Amino acid sequence: MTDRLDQFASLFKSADKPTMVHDDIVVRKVIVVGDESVGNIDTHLAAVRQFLSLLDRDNPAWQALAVTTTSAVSSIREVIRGVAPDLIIAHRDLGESARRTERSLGVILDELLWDSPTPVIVLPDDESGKAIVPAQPARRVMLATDHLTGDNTLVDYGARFTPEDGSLLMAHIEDDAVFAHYMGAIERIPDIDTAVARERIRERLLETPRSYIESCVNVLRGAGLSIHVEDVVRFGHRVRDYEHLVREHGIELLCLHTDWDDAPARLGMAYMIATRCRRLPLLFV
Amino acid sequence: MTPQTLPAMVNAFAATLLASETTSAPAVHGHHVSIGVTIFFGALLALMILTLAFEEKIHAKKSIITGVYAIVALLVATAMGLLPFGELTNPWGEAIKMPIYIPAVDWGVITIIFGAGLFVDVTSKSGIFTWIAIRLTKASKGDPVRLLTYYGVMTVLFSAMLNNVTAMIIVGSLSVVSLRKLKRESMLLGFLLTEGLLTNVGGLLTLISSVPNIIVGQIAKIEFLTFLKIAAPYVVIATFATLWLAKKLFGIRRLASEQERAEAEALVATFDENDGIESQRFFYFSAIAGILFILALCFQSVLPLEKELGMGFVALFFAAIVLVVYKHEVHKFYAAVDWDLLGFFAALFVVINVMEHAQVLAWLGKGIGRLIELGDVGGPAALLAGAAGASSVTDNIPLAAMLAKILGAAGHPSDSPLWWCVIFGANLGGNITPIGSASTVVAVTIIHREKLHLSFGGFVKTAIVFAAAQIALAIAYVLAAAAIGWI
Repeated sequence: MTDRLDQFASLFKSADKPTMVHDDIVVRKVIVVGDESVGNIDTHLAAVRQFLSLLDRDNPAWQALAVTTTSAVSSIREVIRGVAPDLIIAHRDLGESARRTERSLGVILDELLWDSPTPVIVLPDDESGKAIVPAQPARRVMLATDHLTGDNTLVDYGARFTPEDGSLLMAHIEDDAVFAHYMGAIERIPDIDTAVARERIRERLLETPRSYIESCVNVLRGAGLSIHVEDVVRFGHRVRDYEHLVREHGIELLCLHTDWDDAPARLGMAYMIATRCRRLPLLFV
Repeated sequence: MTPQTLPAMVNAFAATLLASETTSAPAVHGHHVSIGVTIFFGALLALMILTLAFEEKIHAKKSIITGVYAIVALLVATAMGLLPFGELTNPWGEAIKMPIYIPAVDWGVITIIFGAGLFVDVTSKSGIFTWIAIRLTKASKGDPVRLLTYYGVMTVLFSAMLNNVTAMIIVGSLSVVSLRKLKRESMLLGFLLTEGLLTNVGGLLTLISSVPNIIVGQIAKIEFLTFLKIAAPYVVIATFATLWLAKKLFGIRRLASEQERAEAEALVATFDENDGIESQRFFYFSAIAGILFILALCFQSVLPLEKELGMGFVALFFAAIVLVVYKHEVHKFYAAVDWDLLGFFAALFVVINVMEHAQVLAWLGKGIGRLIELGDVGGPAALLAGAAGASSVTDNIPLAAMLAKILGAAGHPSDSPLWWCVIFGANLGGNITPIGSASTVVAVTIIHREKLHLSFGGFVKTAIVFAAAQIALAIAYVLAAAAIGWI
């Protein structure tokens, strides 16, 4: 009886399709944080406003915050808290005396990502470690996650930062190594048909995000957004595959999710991608 | 008792009685059986029922328990010279050699259960039942009162078409998923209890909806359509009475505000009824086959060939038709057949056959006779209430089978209201305790899986209100129907 209970419970759970609930993202206050590497902070602010001109719809209040290598993290945090922005724009190695760290975004940025619930855009840098503001707004945006289903916030932000007629690529990569690890355990359980389990689990892991993306397309279209949604749902090596997708699709803004209950694990994956995609503006939600 | 034990016991018991009806007469009439022998075999029967009640405690499957008792009964009865050994004669007058325990089994009942079980297993793979269940969920728009009504009616219909256990599993699983989705977990206990109690009401609808119906119907020679005509009005009344009581007792109310209604509707709208359908062709094929199956059963008694071949053939015929669709993987369905249940039935038929030769049933019949002698009103009422009370703590199938056998031996005609007292009592008695029927056991299992607290006493305290209402309605219905000549 327990088997049959599980069988029907699974059928009904499977029939319950994940559906996107859309919330329009409104950005009313933006703070642009930069150190001496960006040159004149006001010029930098103007360039950032140009890059993010699609925010003009909300007519946000822009504010600049210049930091130095001697600025204390706590004081920067205090200022940001006081402003209570809807979006923070920063760059790699913010306030670092050692320019261009390879496996870190810098102490200040680490603190902001870890601590602040506010989305952060991290600007790319050049060989010398100088922050670069793309001249044109990003037209090709990508969401990178291994937990796309139900992540309405990430989708909303991705859609908000995709201009009209721009494209939004929703990428969901299931980790091959994690799957292999669990299959290794399943292979050692005689009661479970390994071939069936492998096939059905793979199907299920991919079907759910596909179904969610389908719902996203319908919901975003219903909300009147004229953006092109593309999807990539597959197994692979997460970090390597996201890097590959960025190059393959000419992505100009990469959105990553860090604000989860299991933030350390999630941030870990996003962080690895962030440290490797140096030439790309990143939006941490 | 496990969920399977109850129906299995009842089925087997009843089927055995059916079988013994045709095979035991010479022995019964040809031998004098001492009271001591009758008491010995009566005690053996009581011990077997007691052992089956503790099936899980002794870690033995019911087919093994009953099989052991069948072997003991056969050995002792043979040693005492109670069994009529010798050649059997077929309708052409040919003598046939056959082990005595083979004709003791009612293969007609076994084939109905085997064939119908296979048919339902295969057709449910088409996704048709989950499709209906999800369509109704969406049609409710997430309103708790509508949801309870739709699920209640669905439970009754599924119990009538499938079997009580499968119906409870389907509707119970969906209730858990949908109420969690709607964030109405506080209503889950009420929903599951109501559905559990309605399975036994749905089990009354047709001649094949429950094993007691099959057994009593066969002994009383009640046809499928006649059964439906008499049972249906009561099932409708009892269903809505149960739902009305459930709304009152469990405080299930309609959604108050427009916003609540919109939110609930949006939540259930995410269910996709087509998710479980792997093949549209097989889906429609199953739906048509299901309708034809019901029609074939309805008109089995008048259709040429089927009339002679019987309901068991109809069930096997339709099982074979749907199995053709899965011709390369029929082994999966064969593996899913409840062989323990079928073995239990076969062994129980043998045990009951021996009991009849030992005059145990005749002895029990005397007690029933005294109940019936209470009068035109008191007799049926006492029989129905007594059957309900007994089936609340023991298996309703052996009970129904014994009572039906006793009524048949007493020569009651097929339009006697007493048959219906046995049918209603045996089915509804399962609602008094959590172990009273297989489907209430399933309901309680789901309740406990969902970490909801419900003790044995808690179940009885809540269910007794429903069961009392259903049994009182049944008594009133049988008496009224008999008075106006409906039965």
